[in-house]
Amino acid sequence: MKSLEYLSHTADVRMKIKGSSREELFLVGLEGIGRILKEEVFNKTSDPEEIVEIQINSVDITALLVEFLNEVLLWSHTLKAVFFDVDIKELKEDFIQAKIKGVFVEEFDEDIKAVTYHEAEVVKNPDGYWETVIVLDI
Amino acid sequence: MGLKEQLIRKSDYLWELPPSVKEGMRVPAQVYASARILEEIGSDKSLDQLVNVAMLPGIQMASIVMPDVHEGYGFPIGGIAATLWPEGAISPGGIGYDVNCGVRLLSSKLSKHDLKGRGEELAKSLYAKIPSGVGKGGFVQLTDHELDEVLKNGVQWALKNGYAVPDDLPKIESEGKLPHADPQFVSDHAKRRGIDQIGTIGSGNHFVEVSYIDQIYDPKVAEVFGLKKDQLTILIHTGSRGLGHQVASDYMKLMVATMSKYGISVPDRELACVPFNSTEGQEYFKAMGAAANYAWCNRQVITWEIRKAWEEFFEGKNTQLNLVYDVAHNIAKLEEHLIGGKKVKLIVHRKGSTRAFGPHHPEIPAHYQVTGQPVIIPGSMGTASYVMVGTTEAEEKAFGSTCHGAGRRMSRRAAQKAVNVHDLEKELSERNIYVRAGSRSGVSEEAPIAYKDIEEVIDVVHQAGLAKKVARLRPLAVIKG
Repeated sequence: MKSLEYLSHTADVRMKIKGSSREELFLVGLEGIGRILKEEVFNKTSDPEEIVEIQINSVDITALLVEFLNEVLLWSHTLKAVFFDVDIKELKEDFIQAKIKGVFVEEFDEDIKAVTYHEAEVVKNPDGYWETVIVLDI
Repeated sequence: MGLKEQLIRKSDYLWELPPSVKEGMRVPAQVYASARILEEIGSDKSLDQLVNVAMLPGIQMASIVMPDVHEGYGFPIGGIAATLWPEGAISPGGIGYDVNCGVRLLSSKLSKHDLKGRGEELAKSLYAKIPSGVGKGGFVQLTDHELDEVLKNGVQWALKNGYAVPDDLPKIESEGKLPHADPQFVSDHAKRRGIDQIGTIGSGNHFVEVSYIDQIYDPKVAEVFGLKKDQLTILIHTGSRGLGHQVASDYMKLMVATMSKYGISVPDRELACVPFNSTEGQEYFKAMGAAANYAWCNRQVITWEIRKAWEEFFEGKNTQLNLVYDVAHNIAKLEEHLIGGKKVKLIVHRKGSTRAFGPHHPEIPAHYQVTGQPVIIPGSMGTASYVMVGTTEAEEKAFGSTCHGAGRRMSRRAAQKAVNVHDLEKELSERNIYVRAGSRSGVSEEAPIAYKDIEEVIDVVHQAGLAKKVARLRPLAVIKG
């Protein structure tokens, strides 16, 4: 079961993401960013118009998630696209290889400057779900 | 006991947390605030974040926040942290993702009476001529070589290419060029994001605003600044756009991965840092400098766009627009300050804080040597903004720094829920304030209710001597992304 919840933050956006696997957690994070950039992309089913291959090494799973989401954001801005799905080929504690799938948009609803490390900590909770808080600089 | 309860009152406007409140603090944490503002500060994580900053390697004197402080994402927004050169920490989080976000003030030769009844028309005209909105590209298309020139030479590039007049340059902090900037340390990704965004406002709290001066507090200083009652002025608030965001993200990632090799651990990864004189520290400083130069060029090209639009709109009148000053409020600078009577070289991080050097400081323009530098503090949409002047007291107390705005107090989502855009626009237009924005949510998020009272913030820094009031600006037309 995946879940995405936007929590209060004075100036920016704090989102709590949850997934039944680490792979699903990465997907929910991607969705959390995409919904801020362009909510309507998630209100319909679309075939991907753009697929970008991503490969990242990092220091641990938390930093890996933050850096993966920053990479998604980078490609969103560079290609003017919103990514709604991810096909993960390999995911380790400190490495991910994946294809992100998205559609082009005319404009974004809102800007996200960056995905921050602040308060991020990927943990497996007692219910067996993977979760973390992610703070976005808006 | 919470941090708020442990604050020690040092004077009417200064409160302090001693290093004993949390293990790892190297210096006290200081808060400039009134008793009322302090209540709000205690309601988010600003104080926890301020205390964490006091743990940075090499931090000197105190970690400081201004009365516009609010919770950030590592460093509190509205803060100053100065570390000892050359081995003290440099931290991208202490500058922020919008490198050299800042404010520029232009003064006109016209008065509010010249605009009478045409405010809405002016807002429409400026909106059409200044690109704004999320990810929007601009009218000026740069080649790769030209972008490198912008990154290296800042506003000198703009002057060479007809986007500036010679008088503009001395009226910009650092004359619009950080000499240590080096484009080779800016990633291709960052350059790709920046290549078509020069001369664009962006979104969020960024804006262009036409205002008039409704009150002069210090006539002598106002005269030196070229400001008088009823005069039309223009504020430009924006930064380094996607290029700066990417520079910060790239180096944040690098520092998270490398700080441990320097024996550095921080209580929050957004405080990731390395010694200034390390390879990574120097590379970031050069890349950050390049992004800062881009931001100054961005505000310069917007100035050029405004000058063209102004000339067209007020055809037949004196349409000259002079640059009063351009200040950065997200930046790190190498500066010398007195600590305990001794001059020390520091890496001064300002994250949502404006430099406020007083009279006779060698780094301010000749024109302002007698008065001190102009300090420009924008209010929230629809409220007043202030022109202040820097002070020697600010140099002694806060590394020559003061506040940078009203400071948010309500989340963007809460503001969207609380504010009816139609009602807000109606209320503003009844007060002869016209807003042109790319999105309705952009208007509600920036509603005055989402911000602290600018008057109260300004009063605190004025009373504390961190800058002195010179003039108040009232908005007439606001352009937003």
